[in-house]
Amino acid sequence: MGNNINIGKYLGSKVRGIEPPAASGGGLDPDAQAYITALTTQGYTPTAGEKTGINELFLNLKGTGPVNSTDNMYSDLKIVRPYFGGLAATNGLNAIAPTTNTTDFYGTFFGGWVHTNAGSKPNGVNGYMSNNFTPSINMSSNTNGGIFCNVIENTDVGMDIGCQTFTNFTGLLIASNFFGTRYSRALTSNQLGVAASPPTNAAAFWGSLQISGQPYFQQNTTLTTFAAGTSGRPDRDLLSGAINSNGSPANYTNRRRNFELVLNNVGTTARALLLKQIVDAFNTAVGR
Amino acid sequence: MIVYVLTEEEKDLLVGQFFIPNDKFNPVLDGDTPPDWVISEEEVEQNQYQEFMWVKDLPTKNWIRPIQETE
Repeated sequence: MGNNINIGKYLGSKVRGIEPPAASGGGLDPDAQAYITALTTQGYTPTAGEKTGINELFLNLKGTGPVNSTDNMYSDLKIVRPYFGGLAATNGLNAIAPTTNTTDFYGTFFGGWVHTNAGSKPNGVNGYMSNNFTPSINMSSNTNGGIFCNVIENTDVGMDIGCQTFTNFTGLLIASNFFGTRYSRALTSNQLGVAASPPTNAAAFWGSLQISGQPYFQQNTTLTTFAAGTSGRPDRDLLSGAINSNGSPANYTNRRRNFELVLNNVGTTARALLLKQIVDAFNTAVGR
Repeated sequence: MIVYVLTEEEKDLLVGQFFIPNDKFNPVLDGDTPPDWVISEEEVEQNQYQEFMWVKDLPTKNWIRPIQETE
């Protein structure tokens, strides 16, 4: 028995500090790993559990995850912003293009915000974020565009996300009733903003999801209906925490948000609902 | 809510400048008559940069929300 080596004792000090795999069945999704690396570079190192949540987020967006195993929407996504890491530098990251380049839609914050791992809360005075994203330039289609914003707090000040539409766009970017949206507002003739009611979400769509007579809700009570609009894409930078009113932020909100998505080809109600499930799963996984 | 009051010259010094990585000062006009340029408590309290520490010495006032044309 001279070769009876205590492997556990021998390796004990060697394996200490090595984290268990964050995802079942192997390593991390490479895009999830890129986001985790970017978070670390910008100042926040996710825990093993958070890495698992991030990995499952990417798997779900690719149609191979526990919440979504069929719909690969990854190529349609333009912005995936989990507002995660607790710093302005981390919370501004676009998870699917996790650089600090505005051309990758890295969010630039302005004014008063409080950033935590639970999201980013503007102050309702002068806090907003530029998404560095103009739908008329950065979206590929006049139809089926979607913006999704998950806010937390139930206050009644300001607009959660929005941008001005181009001159000839007479329709509205409407707030969907899919998520129990609090309200949307047709502001002036060519502006749009969306606000949401917690714990639900706000969503804005343009194009084919602009269904005539679609109701919008305030805390699950139907208020009115919108007429169908023409298709088109807003031609101003999309702002979060306010709307873009003719090139300037307006209607500042103080509602904390913890997730925003912008995508092409919302396509179906099923996909829109799936977005909510994916966001909810991520927030649960990271303890929100 | 308390805000910090700026002169026009002080406002110009802050526009476009970061007070923490990836968050820039955003002076806005309040709803007073006449309106004042102001920045928020968060910007003053979170500022990391020595060159802007003077904002901590700015006079304060209560926030007066301006009437927003779009609402």
